[in-house]
Amino acid sequence: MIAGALGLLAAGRAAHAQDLDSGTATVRNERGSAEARGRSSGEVTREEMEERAPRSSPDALRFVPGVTIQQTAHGQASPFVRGLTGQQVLLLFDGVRLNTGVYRQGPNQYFFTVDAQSIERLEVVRGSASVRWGSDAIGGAVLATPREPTLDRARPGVTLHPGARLRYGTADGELGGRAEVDAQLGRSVAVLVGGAYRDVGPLESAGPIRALGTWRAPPVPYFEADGRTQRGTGFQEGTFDARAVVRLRHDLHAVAAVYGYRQYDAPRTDLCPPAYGSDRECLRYEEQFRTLAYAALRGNAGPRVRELDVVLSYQRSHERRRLDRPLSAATNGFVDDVDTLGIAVRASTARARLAGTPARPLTLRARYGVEAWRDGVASTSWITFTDVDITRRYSRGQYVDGARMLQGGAWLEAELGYGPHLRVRAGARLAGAAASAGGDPMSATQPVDTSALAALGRAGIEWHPSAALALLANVDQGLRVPNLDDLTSRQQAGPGFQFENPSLAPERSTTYELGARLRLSWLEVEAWGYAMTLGGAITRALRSAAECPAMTPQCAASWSRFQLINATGVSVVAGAEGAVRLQLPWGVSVVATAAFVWAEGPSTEAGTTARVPLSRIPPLNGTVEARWRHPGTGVYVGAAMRWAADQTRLAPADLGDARIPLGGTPGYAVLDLRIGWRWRDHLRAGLSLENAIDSPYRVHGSSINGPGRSLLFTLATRL
Amino acid sequence: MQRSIRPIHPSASWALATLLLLGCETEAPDSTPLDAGSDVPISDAGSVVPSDAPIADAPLVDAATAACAPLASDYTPRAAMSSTDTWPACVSDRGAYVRFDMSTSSIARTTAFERIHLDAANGRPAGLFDPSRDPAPEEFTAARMVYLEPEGLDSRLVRRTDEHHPQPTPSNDCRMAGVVAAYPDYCAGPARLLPVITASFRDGQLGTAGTAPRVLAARIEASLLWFFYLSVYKESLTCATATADCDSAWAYYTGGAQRGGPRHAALSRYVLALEPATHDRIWDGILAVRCWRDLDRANPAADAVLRERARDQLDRALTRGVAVVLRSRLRAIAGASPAEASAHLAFAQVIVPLLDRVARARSPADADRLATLLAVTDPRSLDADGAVATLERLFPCP
Repeated sequence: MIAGALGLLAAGRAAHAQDLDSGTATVRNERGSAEARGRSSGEVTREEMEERAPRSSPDALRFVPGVTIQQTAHGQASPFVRGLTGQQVLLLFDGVRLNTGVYRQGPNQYFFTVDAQSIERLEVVRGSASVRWGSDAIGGAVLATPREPTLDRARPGVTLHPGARLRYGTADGELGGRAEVDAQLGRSVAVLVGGAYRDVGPLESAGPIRALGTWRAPPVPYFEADGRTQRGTGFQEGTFDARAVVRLRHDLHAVAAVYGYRQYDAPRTDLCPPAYGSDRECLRYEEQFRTLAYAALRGNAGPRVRELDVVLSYQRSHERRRLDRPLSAATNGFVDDVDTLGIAVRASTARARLAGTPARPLTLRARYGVEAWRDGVASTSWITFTDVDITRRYSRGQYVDGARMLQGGAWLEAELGYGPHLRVRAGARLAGAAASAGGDPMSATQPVDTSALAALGRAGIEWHPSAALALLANVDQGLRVPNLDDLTSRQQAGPGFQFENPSLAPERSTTYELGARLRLSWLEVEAWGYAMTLGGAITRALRSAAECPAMTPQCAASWSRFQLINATGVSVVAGAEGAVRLQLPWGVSVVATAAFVWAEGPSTEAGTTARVPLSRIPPLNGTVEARWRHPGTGVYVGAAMRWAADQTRLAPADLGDARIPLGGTPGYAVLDLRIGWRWRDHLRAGLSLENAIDSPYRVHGSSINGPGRSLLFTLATRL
Repeated sequence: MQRSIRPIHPSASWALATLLLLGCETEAPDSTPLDAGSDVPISDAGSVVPSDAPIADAPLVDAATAACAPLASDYTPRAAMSSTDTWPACVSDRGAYVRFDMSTSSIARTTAFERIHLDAANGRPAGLFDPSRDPAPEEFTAARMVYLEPEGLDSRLVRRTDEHHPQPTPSNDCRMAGVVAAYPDYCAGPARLLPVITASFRDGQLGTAGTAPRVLAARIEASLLWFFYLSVYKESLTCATATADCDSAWAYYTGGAQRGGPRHAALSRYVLALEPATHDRIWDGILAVRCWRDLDRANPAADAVLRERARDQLDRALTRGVAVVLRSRLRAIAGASPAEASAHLAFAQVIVPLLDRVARARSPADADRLATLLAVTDPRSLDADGAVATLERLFPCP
């Protein structure tokens, strides 16, 4: 692909020089884009989301190369970036860290709690990025940028833009909408307030997939009698958001915002019913709430302090789960709450000219910041005998009640520029973390009191041999300090019972990547190759029943038992991803993406030096998306295909995971067709025919199959 | 379109959001207060039975058992390390069970059975299954918590099949409520055992039902022992595709112990105390299953004939083992107080219908006779000797 790009360069004419400088400060936190420069990254714009009509924020990332979306439930989804997910991918919302101290090993549902309708842009930085973003950015970082209220300083008085959106889908009977008001109050104050609700029913797929080799349907999901509807897939969801912006000076703003997400009765599909339990048993998330509130000061604070961003944030994550066992007249209940306080201060210097000529200046710009995040956990569990209405609490919940975690760091990055053709970037971070949790004699839980300090670095070079072509090379380090889930949690995970390890050390990664970008007026090509080493990877090790914690009978009773450990060797993740965008005549554009990742690490089995695949690594996959738009009428037509090859390289933990068919997950190709009409900003109507060929498919590692052939209708108005 | 209106105070939207975020979370429930008036066990002064052991038989010189020679097709590792039988040499010849896997999760479920009975570490030093006393409601609650532990007894019992009956269709299983209703014999766990266990725990926790708590406990005990019986047979079948299930067959009988080792749990604890000869024959059957899987290492196993030889030997002995346990309870009725006798009768009334399949296959008349004899409400009207005699005729040999 790189060779092809070089060849095309010789024949093509550059449409525009690639902008090497970061943008000026704006109301919106543009730092995601600025920091992604020179990195392997992908972006999803508001317009793309409106036309693709994703079901969730993770779903909106489906067309980003190097990203796959695993779903353990219809109301849950977890982005995999370069084969990693969960604790190993950092999620940020407007620069505020979403990852809490209880993010689990493996996929989690938390990015689903970001309302896609409140998002202006999503960006994925692929590869280790902890120097810039801190702990957890091993596989990459997902940056969500919210929508802003309209603030036009030329307009006095009060201006209101009410808006409404509606969507209906036949695959799951989804019916929902959003109402919002975009209000400007005078020349300096603007507010965007909105709320949304949707009711999502059971998801109808194109039928079961068949396991590679055995050709038998995997045990999850459970299909209703029609052979298409997947049990345990409906949910209800409400969201609200309010964002106020006050212009303090022409380039300095204060922002106050709150974003709430409320999800109710969302079953976990692989446990509703469980693969080998009664079909009346069901684990559901009765309440999956997240509330994020923050206040920020953003802009330029003088000639020396540019792109200032001071953010004070509070995030509360509330999770209430219920395991119904009606045959046995019992329910198990769990509540886990996390309160996170955060402060982050970031800024940059103006670009200083150090030497050189006006045509080829040698410039220097620095970015720097400090941040700290504190998590407090409340966790409890109980059992209720429903036939006698008696409840008994257990001595501990999934986590240790009262556990605390503090993490943060200070970082500095410098960008040296030489003329318009060369940028050299380097940076370093000093990161620290501490965690503590009390013991629980009733469950033989050991107390935790641990801390870690680490130094990280990164370096990169971006060379533009011509205005159209950029060649890039980066070395970036990643870090993940063990969080409270690693250190204290006991839970039935997909592959088996997992118990804590209070002695874990941080895992550290280094990503080496080479990339090329070609931008012509009619063609854009981007290709990256990378290799990542992961030292001391925190991974699941099989344990015998004798190694289970005392007084934890469900551990020994489980088919498989795991404990998180630091792998003794180095894990390797390597791969490539690329995208081609072709602008054809008559308003037709075609975008194709492809990604491949290969990963293996040391076996955690005692007495062996064998290396084994890492868990849930996506297969070779990609997308093709074609779109035609008529500029005069606003009508657009599109078609998209998502495909994936078979995945038969399974980790030992995958073999016992009911979500993964025996022998591996079969490949697929799914075709979506879209048509729509947009009248300026005032009216937009879209209709999608999803999975037009009604192909049964499942993203590797998911509990659910994707929607079968179905229609999705969207309507949006704004006055 | 733009309209100018009076400014709305920005705090209004914040107030709305605050209401939404503050008012919606549901608190975790507190534990239900204990019923202070019902947590003292009621003792039965007439009891003579130890509280933590199976009901002891009178010293038994069982002529029938002594006369029960193994079949020619049986695996007999105790006879010169299997050198005198027709089985090829295999891993079981030394008489010990050699596990496929280091960990056998089924052991935890037999341990749970023992913890349902006694859990001194958590404040229950008296046996739930002790027929000489009436457990308090809180004891039932504590025991039910053990029964319902994740991946515990309930998790398997709700889907346990009786593989003596044909599977309805290959794609059906007893996870499905419709299959359970249509095939209650095959889906014995959810269809036959679970209702008894659930109702007994419920009534025991309420403490207000007309049935004596020790009777409820006896029904739970009998149902769980039958669950172990079904589990041994089921796991010996599915070992054909998952060798770890052979370990489970062994574990469900022994609780993870070797033939003469300590800490026998669940069914083997009962049988070993009552009739060691039968215990030995069950052990031979378990070793026969392991021997078959050693000789037939294909996956799935290929030698169905050898498999069924082993399983038939195991099942024959195991059925005798259950009959021995039942016999001990019938014999204990004679010397027991009325309350204790009711518990023994309740135990027997759960077990007898479950033995009916094989009893009827051997002698429909005796099967009818046994069912008729046990169809009493008052243990004093039970012809226990007649029932024991019928039982011995039906199940004379392991």
